[in-house]
Amino acid sequence: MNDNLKIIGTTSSAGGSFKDVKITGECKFAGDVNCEKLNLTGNANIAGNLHMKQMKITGEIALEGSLEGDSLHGQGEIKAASVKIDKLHLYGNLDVKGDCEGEKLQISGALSVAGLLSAEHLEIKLFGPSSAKEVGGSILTIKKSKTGRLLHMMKPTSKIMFEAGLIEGDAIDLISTKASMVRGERVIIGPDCEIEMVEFRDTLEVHKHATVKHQVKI
Amino acid sequence: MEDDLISKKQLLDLTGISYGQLYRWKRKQLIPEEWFIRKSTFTGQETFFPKEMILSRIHNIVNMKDGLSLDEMADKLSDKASFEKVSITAKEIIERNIVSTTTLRKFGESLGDESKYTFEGLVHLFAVDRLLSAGEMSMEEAELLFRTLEEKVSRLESGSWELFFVRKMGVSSFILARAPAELWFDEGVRLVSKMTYADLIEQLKGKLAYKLVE
Repeated sequence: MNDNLKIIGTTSSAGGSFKDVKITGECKFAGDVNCEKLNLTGNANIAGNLHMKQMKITGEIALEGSLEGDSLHGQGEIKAASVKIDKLHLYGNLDVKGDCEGEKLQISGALSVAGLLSAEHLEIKLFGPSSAKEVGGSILTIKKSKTGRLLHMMKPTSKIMFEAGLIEGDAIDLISTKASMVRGERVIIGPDCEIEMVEFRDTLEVHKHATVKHQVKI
Repeated sequence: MEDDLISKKQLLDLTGISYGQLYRWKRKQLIPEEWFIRKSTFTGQETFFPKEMILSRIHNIVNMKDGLSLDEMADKLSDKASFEKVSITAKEIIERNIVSTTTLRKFGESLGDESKYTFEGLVHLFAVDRLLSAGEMSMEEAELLFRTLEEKVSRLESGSWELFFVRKMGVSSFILARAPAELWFDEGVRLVSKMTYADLIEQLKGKLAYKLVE
């Protein structure tokens, strides 16, 4: 069986396969990391892929490769080339250069996904400008977070929006979203949305403070 | 080429599956990434799929669903090896209507000892049978095709091939090329039929899926 790795302070490591990894402080990995559990408080930098079963984060992690695992939850910032995690629950910022996939993705904060954002159940509570090229899945919900509203009162910046090219799902519930195309069975377009085109199969609700240029029932 | 593709919208209408299911199967790699073909249309970007392959794949998924979890299914469908292990008797072939009796009687013997057929052998029979039953090919041509497949396919290292069946002035010939292949012919040539290995095995997998679930 693989060993545990425990890091306190500032260190670098070549990477490798471990059982449990615990980082308090700062660590740079020069290669891929495989582990059962990863507990990070602080900063981690991985010049490769990370494969884990369970991960807890308070801080920042940046990967050059892909981030894969069963579950991840915590606060902070995650940067990766691609993400594939069954259950992701993050308060903070998620930045993905490729696709981001999962079964249940819950993100409170901001996210930017350059590829496809796909989940069975996606819930985003916006409090920062966010974007994804495409969004696809079963139940897709975008809400405004209360924290975001509070922040907005203290420091009124421009409107926080979620921008996407295409959004496709079974049940879609959007708010503050700008998209060129939304396709779904049951679609709710909430306040502050700007949608070019909506195609729906069952139902469509459009809030009075939303603009939908074209809508088609198919 | 356009006829071979189906748009995502048409696919959902035709099969009755939902966006959620489609994305779920994509995430589980039940539907390969390469099958998602992006094209610009007047409404913007649209996703298309290779029609025959996606339809039979969805049929397979829907029919296998009861007994297996999605992960198990993904393993089975992507893994050609599990199909290559399948052997099937002449009786089953006829019962399951995989290959017609005529084809089997004519070509079956050269393939098998004790009428057990391997997956590869079955692919060849299946290819021949498809052209024969579509009425596109005569019995003599079928013999030529079958011989060609038996002799030449093993020489294609990549494993994946495409078959072009052409006629010119009543003379027919078969061209076997490594996939993906694009061929251009002179004006007198009529392309009677084109088959791809990927397409054939996808359909065969559908017919044989019951073997794996048993």
